[in-house]
Amino acid sequence: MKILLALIKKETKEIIRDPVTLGTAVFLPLVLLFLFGYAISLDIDEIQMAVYDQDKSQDSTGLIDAFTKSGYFELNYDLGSAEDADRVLDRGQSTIVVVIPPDFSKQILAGRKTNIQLLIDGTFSSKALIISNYATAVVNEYSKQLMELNLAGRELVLDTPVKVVPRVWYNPPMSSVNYIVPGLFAVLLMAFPPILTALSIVREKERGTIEQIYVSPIRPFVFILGKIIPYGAIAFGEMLLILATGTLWFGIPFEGSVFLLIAISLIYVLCTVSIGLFVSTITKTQLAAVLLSLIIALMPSFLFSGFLFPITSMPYMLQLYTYVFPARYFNDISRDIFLKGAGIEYLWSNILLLIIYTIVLFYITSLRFKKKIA
Amino acid sequence: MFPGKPIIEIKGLKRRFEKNWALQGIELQIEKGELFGIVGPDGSGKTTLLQSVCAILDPTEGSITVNGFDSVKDAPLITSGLGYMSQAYSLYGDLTVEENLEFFAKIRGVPEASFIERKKKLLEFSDLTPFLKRRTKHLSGGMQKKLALCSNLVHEPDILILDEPTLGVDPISRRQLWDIIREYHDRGKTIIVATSYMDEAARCERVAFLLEGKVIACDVPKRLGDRLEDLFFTHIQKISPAGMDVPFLRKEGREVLVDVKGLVRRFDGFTAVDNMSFDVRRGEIFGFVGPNGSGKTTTIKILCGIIPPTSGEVTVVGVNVTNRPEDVKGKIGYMSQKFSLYMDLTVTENISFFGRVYGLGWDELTKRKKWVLEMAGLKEKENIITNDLSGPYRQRLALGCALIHHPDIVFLDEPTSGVDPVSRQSFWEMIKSLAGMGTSIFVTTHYIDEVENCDRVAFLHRGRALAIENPSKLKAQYDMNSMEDIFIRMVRKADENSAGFN
Amino acid sequence: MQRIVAATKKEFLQFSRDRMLILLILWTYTIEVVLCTYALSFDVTNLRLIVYDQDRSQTSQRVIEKFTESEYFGETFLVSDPEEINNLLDAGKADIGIVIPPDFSERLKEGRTADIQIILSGTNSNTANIARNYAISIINSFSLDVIVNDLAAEGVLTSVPAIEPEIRIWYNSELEFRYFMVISMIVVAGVLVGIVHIAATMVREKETGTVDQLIVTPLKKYEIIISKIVPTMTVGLLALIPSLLIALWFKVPIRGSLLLFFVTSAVALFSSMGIGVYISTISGNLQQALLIAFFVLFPLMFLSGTLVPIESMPLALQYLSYLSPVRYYMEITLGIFLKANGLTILWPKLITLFAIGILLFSFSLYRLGKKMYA
Repeated sequence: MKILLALIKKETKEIIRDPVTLGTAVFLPLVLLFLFGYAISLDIDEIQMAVYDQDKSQDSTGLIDAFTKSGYFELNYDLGSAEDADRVLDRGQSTIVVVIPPDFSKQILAGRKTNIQLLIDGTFSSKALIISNYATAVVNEYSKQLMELNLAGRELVLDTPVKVVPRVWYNPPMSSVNYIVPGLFAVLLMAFPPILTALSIVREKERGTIEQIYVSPIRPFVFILGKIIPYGAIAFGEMLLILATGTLWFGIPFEGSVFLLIAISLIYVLCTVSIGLFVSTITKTQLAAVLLSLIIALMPSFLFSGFLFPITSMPYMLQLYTYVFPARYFNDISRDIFLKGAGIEYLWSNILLLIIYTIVLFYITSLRFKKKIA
Repeated sequence: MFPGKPIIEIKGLKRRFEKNWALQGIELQIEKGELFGIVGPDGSGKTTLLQSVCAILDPTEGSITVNGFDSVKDAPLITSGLGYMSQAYSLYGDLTVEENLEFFAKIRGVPEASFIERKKKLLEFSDLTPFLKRRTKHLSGGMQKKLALCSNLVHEPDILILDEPTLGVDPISRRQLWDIIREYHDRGKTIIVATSYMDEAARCERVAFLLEGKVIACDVPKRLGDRLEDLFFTHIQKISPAGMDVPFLRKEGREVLVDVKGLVRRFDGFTAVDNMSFDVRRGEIFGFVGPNGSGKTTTIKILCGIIPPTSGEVTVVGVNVTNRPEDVKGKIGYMSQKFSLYMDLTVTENISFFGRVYGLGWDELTKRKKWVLEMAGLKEKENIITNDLSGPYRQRLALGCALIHHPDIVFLDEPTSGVDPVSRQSFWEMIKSLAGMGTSIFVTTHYIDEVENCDRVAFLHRGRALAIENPSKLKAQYDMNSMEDIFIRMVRKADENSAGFN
Repeated sequence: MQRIVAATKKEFLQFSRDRMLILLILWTYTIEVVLCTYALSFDVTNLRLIVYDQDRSQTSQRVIEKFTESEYFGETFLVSDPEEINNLLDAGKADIGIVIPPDFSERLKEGRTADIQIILSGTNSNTANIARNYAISIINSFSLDVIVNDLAAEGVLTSVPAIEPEIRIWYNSELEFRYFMVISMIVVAGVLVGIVHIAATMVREKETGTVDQLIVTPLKKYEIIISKIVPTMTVGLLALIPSLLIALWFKVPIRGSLLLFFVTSAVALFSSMGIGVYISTISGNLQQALLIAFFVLFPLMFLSGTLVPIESMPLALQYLSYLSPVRYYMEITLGIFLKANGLTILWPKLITLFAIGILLFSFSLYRLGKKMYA
């Protein structure tokens, strides 16, 4: 116990006296939180739209107005020819071109069906899909209005036969921020704690101080605890900081139990630190340690945790692959607690996996950490 | 002569790193209470042997028992009664002197009361008391070594293992380190010390001479006597350079190549070089001596145009360095502190790179490359990665690369630090013959004994030159035989003067 | 010239000795590209559906079939208790629920409006949004069927005006997300290598102390930098070949000029190296350089439309993205691959990309000058 205290004291002093590292640990996650909280979103508006209106009638301008009034589209070019449509799409000046045929209003007046063309830039397919959905909805709505108007002229009233009543649970405004920020906690904690922890041991190896540890009576797991506790404390502080900032600044609704989330964060924090320790047992240089932490901790937690890309859309094998990374578990837990207010009865399986993961990792690391040079 | 069972028994010890055998069958017995020396050139396996005894490195073959415990099975039982001072910097640089001591005491479970008592004694003995609150990374090399030793004595181990404790340490600290070792040994403890200094070997009760992973001789130093030195020299001889006397290096004249007047350099309010003036002539060996932080490296960097002076006039080979730093490059040679070669390139690749960068044609480069290889004793090792060379080879290769364009003057920044004494001596022989042919040498060192090789020497203290003189004349002037004593006398006088001003 | 050649040769030799770095570069250009392209997609398919049909009529069955026949919905749970909808959504076992009221078919027969409720879990706002759109459009199309039937029965069908949107997705008619992903990953790999490699080699000279040795040689400052640029450039361009093969394997169309693509990549690498060199001037050792490089890279990726659409970011960040070389590289590459854009269209972006590089290098040279003197 005395030895453990001495190790922790030493580690803490070293951390405090290295302002660059401490600053990195505290400041950068906040910067990333703000950046990602604002930047990562799939809600699109201000879609640049060009129009090739060959009709120039009241009806056609009405349609164009319907687009701009929807709030999603911004008219930026009024084209004079079909070649212009090519041009604006080729240059990426507009992402959608609405082509209205010359007989548009004539057909409407005659009570016939008429086609308009929507040309969409499909290079970024997800974006194109969303845009085409928005555009279709606008056109359908306008079409319905025309229909109603026409029938009203003939003193017929059209009732919509089926009305959709959408109800969104957990995140009613369906805002990206509410979805992104709780997930970010999982990612940000995979960024610094593993790297800093791995570096702290590898640095001792590179400098040679580790040999003094080897020849001392410190037992391996005590030494490892001496690293886990201070770095775990920093990571936990980091967690509380981004938790508070994320919740208060971005106004994320918090449905669940704060206590439960903090308790689980503590486990997750230990897990991230253990990953760093594991990295340090298999690397010898700082460069290798940083790169390896990057490859096994940060990148997967970003890409394969369901943070941004839905896991259900991945091929089956890769869905299994996501279970290798603990960020996946914490990501689920964090979102469920935040948005659904889920309790332990729903989360126990993920929590259990996280605990087992941490224990196994800690055990392997203690086994691998031998007090020998080679 | 040592009754009782040996405390350390090494049987058929072999150790392999990948393909190379570092130790090839060591048989040794060390008695309780013995002061045992291990001597050998760089790369002979000294560190590997010590680490094996410490039970932090498992043997590939053979066995080691310490106090009857096996080094593989009972490693924790061995390490708990051990002190090991490795060659590496083994302190936590961001902790203070006191905090380091306290940390090492705590992890060894030293009771509070005895810690306070031992700390006081150790600090007094090692002269570290005034620096208690200083962070260890800001201590000089000698002080760090002393603290590392104290950190290993604080738990009073029965066995103390020291890996070249005095390498790269100034003579005063070296003396203190040995005083501490002596005193500890007198208390009946077993000490094993690896060293490449002959005089240190002579202080041990028994010495083993290690060469290429084998013990060649093991006896009382007196009985080994001259044989020890012979062994050392015959081995070194093998890699000793061919003569430096090559016609294309010859240059005539005695003109002034370096002229410095009133040189000052400040860093954020701290004056590193304070009003320095001197000149260096062709063919002269000019030495710059002083402890770490006395302004040696700063001056050399200014002369080479790496950093600008704050004020003063600096002329090198006829070029005003302050105004036209670019023009001096290519005319001078420079060898920086850590023998800055590209460690991941082979020997030839390093030579070719520097040769071509200095504008040599291919024919000329081939000729000079042959010369460098011969001089550095690397003729058969030209395709070895530089990182795999031992210190002395690297040192000579770096010198060769600095000379490849035949500069009029070459600046050597601590060229001998971290190299064993015998290799140091042969390096100085090379320098002398180089100077004899008309190349000026500007050299810095913190080994005061080396200055006797210089034609003129500047003693530096806190950015000022205390004296610039020929070593023999200095001896006559002070009527002292040791340069070290002269330097200490000068420093004291300077400190007294500045104290007088305050 | 001889000096530059010699220095460049040295850099190449050093590069060939650094196995770790070569592995990292190959990894980012190949495995990373394949893995991400396979796994990651914003496309939402296989949505898990809950149906609570209180009507159990032929009409309601038709609605359900419209859902199950659509390609977007997969697994279907039929439930008979509203509680079960809660449970399934809470446990994250399903994505969307539809509730058909008991009087559904009756109301339709009487020509009155009937409500269908859809219930979504908003935790993943992106998935929820898309799922809602799918559901609404399926129900709307059902609704239209009903109107058409009714009107046909009343004999007024032929004279009702309607606008039918005809959607044409250009450049990527199948809306393949993979095209975008492959290109995005190649771009990111290029930028990563450009920034990290040159920063690492510059800082290494500083760490090993060879930089002083280099300064006293007659090598000029710009010659040192050129010698560092050439190997990174060569490797960065060569590494494009395996990733182009991967692109072919994923059947990504390459419609424009490959030569132009390589030229653009060279310019983009140049600009990225500008960032790398700048990082090396502000960091004292490898650890710092890597940490900084890594935290510049992440925001850079996000601000540049490589993963999320630029249009979905706040306006301030959108403007900021004009400073990012990655944005131009991404837009040009998409243009070349999918739109067959030529230099006539792309030149302003290419020039901007180059200008950013020049600016960054001048800035670093200035900083380097202050530090290195000479």
